[in-house]
Amino acid sequence: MQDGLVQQAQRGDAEAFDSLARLVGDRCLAIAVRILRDIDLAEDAVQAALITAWTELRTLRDPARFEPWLHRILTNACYAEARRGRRWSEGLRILPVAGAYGPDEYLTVDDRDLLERAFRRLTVEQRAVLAFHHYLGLSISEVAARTGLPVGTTKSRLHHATRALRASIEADSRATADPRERLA
Amino acid sequence: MNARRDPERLIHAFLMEGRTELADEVYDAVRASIEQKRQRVVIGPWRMPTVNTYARFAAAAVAVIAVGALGFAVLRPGTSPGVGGQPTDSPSISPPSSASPSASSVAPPALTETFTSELYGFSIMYPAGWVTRPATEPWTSGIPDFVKTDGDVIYHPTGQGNLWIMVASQPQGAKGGEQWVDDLLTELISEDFCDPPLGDVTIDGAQGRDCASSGAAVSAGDRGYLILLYVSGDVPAVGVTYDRAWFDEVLATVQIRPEDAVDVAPSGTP
Repeated sequence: MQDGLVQQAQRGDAEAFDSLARLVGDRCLAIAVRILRDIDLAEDAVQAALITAWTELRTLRDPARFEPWLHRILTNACYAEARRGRRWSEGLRILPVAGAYGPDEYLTVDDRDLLERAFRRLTVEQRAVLAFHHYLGLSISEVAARTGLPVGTTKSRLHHATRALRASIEADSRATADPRERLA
Repeated sequence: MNARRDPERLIHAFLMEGRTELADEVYDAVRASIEQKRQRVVIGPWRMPTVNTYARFAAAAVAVIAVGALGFAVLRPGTSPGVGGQPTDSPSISPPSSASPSASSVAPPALTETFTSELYGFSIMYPAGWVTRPATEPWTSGIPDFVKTDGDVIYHPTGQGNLWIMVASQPQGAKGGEQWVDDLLTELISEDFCDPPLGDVTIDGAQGRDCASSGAAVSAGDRGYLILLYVSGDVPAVGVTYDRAWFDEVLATVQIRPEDAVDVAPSGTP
């Protein structure tokens, strides 16, 4: 179904592209939110990516590759939004990502607060790699294809991002450990 | 470390949470925008329908005749240059009262004026009423933009820093054309002047690459040429009018003459 819509849209059918956008839009937003950690910037990035996808759709050779191709465009749109956000909104207080949290009881409120702060300290490029790897469950080579990076760079970026997050979590664990343990 | 604080699991759980539904307003805005935007035309083997050799020759012959007829119609004496009918009045780039891009879309202005660079060896057509500001020093590094003086800038009379075309050129040096183009596009992307995906482009016979957004770099002789259209994102309606399709029309008017380029040392430089 999706391939058919891509082919129709490649022939200039805006209705087909609208249907296609509604099939993939939620997933695009989920990715963008996880990369940008800001719902407004994420919506802007998805909008920009979908519009670029429309204008460039005829350059897509294999309709079956539409979603990875769109994710590549989306990644770049997120980078552009992040730069724009930094340029124009510096100093603004960014609230935690709004919306319904999942029911994962593994995370406490403190965990979320800690991870949110740790994520914001990462570069947007590191967050992109983490989002594709953890949220979409993609392999390193699939992440590389979506971010436009060599596989080796992707691997090292994922390693550094994970290490930075791990360090934040472990530092927090030490800080909140039983005082008697710390004195021992 | 106990299982409760397994970092990998915490990171994964954290990333699985959060909003996953795109607002209807975004779909509506996309729909409104694409109704106004033309898709970029791609000429390449992957878009060719399966036809036999004779049919291809026939199609090519028809194309040559059509291009010839169009060229005669456009270039014969006594006719106005370019396509798109009469030039429009100088457009305002003021943001529309409505936020809807479709409500504010106007036809892009015709390219009726010609700017010939004294420094870089090229000419380009632009809309009536726009202001030209020739480069006063050669382009040696970085990306020329509106606030610098190393690129030939043509800008909207009231838009100024929000809507401008910039062309600059420099010797490729030892890099060679392909490497020069690749390096420049990498820098353009990092400076937020260029949105991938990149494509191949030919401007007045010079080969190069262009961005999905409005930027192109080509190699001609021993020189590289950069052509940018900058449209500020602060006024979305302007982007609807001065879109990629309009930039393609601008690119089609560029004539490159690297043999006419003059790299003059900046004043005060020995």
